[in-house]
Amino acid sequence: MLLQASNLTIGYGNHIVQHHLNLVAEVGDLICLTGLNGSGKSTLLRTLAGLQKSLGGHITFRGKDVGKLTNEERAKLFALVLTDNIAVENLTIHDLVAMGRLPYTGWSGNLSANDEKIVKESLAQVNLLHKSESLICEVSDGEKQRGVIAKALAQDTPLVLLDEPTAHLDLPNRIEIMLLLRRLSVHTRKTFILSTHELDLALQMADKIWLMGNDGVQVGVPEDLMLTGKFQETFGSTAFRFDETDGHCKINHLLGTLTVAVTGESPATLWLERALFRCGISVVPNADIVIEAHQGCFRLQNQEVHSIEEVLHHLLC
Amino acid sequence: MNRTYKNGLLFTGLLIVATIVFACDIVFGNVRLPLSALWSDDVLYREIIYNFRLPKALTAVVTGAAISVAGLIMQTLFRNPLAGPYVLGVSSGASLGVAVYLLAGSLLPIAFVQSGWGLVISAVIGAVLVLLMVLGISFRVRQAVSLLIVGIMFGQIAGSLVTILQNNSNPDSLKLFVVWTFGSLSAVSWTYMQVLVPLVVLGLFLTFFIQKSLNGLLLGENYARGLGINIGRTRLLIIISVALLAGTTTAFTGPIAFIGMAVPHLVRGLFRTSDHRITIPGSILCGATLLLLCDLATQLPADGYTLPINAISALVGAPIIIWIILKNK
Repeated sequence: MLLQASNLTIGYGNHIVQHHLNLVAEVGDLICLTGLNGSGKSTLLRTLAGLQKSLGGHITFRGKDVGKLTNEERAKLFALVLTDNIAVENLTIHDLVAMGRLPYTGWSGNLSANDEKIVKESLAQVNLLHKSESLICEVSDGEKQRGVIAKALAQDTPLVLLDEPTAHLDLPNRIEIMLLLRRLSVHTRKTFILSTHELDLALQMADKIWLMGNDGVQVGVPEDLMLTGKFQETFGSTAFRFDETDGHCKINHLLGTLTVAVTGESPATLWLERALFRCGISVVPNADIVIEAHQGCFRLQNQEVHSIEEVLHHLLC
Repeated sequence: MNRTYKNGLLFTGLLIVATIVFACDIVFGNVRLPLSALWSDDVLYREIIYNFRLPKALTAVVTGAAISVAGLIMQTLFRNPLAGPYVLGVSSGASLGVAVYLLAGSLLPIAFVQSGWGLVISAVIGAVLVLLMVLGISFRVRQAVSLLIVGIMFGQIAGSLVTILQNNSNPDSLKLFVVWTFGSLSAVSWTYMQVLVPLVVLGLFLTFFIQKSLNGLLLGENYARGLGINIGRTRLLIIISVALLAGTTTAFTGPIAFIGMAVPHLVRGLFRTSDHRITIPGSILCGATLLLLCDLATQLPADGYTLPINAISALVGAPIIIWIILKNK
């Protein structure tokens, strides 16, 4: 057991955000922390990281009370990737990653040959060696985030805490970062705990999910949480549901009185049904209006059209 | 490797420029000297060089270095490019001390008022009092930006008190006070130098000692804490260094505007780094050179007449800041 929180209370000052939290992180786990806004994801991460005090309970690291560690000792156990913007003039990616070696250097902060080697390896692990001399203001947001992750790797800690590492990134970069973390957790045997709103990605990548509701945390492998309906319970809403077959989030559209039947070949029928739902049209097997999808065409009421847009136009006008 | 070589070259270049400017500052003044005066045995030349030009040039070097390093570490602490050595109210505190001393000085013993030390001591007391108040508050506020605002507010309060004092003082002491606010590098004699130099050296030594923490602070306080840096202790050491660097020099020379704010930008641009292992020595060299150049500029008018250094430093420093902002756009 790497990290254990028992009966933990988190919050600010007199304001308790969550209490009676019991959490465990094992070596090599990739844990996604997800949940509602204001449920305390960032507060929990900051408390685990030692950036703010817990309001009660214990956090132990390999059985040792984390609260009794000095800053220096803590920096060799926990590495952080935060949402704080790093906007430093004239800082190269290399120098950013080298910051991760600060806990190991002497008063001058000079890097040893071994430190340099670790910086290089960390850069290589996030595929950023070629950008090592670029300034952080010159690289893309995705590359900058990979740089910050490399800094955390260079810190050479058994545990890495990441607060919304994919926020503000585009889809390919979000997936790339998640894949990178997945790969790193397998290769480095480090434990990663990250908060995220990317449910789809979390479900596909995480070893464990810490699902934070307004009263407590549900813990488990993603599939168990999905199967037992914990996601629906936590995010509980009438506006959407989690599809039981693939775990994707589906919107509950308000349906009108118009009904149609759809026949033909998939995937045309699949996308047609989605479009119909979106427009509030129910799909039932034996409705008066029948739409047939066939070889790229749609046939309805003896007319042939070539796009879903035209189908909708016919039905709604 | 390449970078180390380039930095070495730049430092050597800067050192050569600084030496040349230092020599120029000694040769050019309101009495023109031939270059040979530097090694001549003439009693008059020696008197001018050793008791006037040399202390003044040394003061420019020490002060330029001190306020530039103070500005650099303030910009790092507050992560704000517009921070400078005086943001915590050092110069306003010093001017309040001087104002109380000069304008309300009729209550003090004559002997104390007439010695130059009175001016220096009152400036130090003013600066240190303001810094102590800011320091006291720094333990209570978590965010550096709140501290910045507190410093500015203390500066405003000190400024208002100075205005009230000015309003109620006689024209003679008012003139003395206004002349002090112009700044002067020539008021530092060898006796004063024995106090100024050790205090500034101690301040510079302190900043070298915390350069690693300063580098960590570049990423912000949360990341710095995550890297094992003790934020409270670092903040305390930064404020003490600023007290030593900016407080002492302001007491002896009066406020010198904009140099401390502009030099760190120049250095970061020149060396293309924010690493304090480079920017601290860089700021020392650039700050010294720039203030020497400013001092040379004060001599530009005809013989026997000099411009106030505080006005020149603003004329040089402010355009540098505008240029940097335009360049970054």
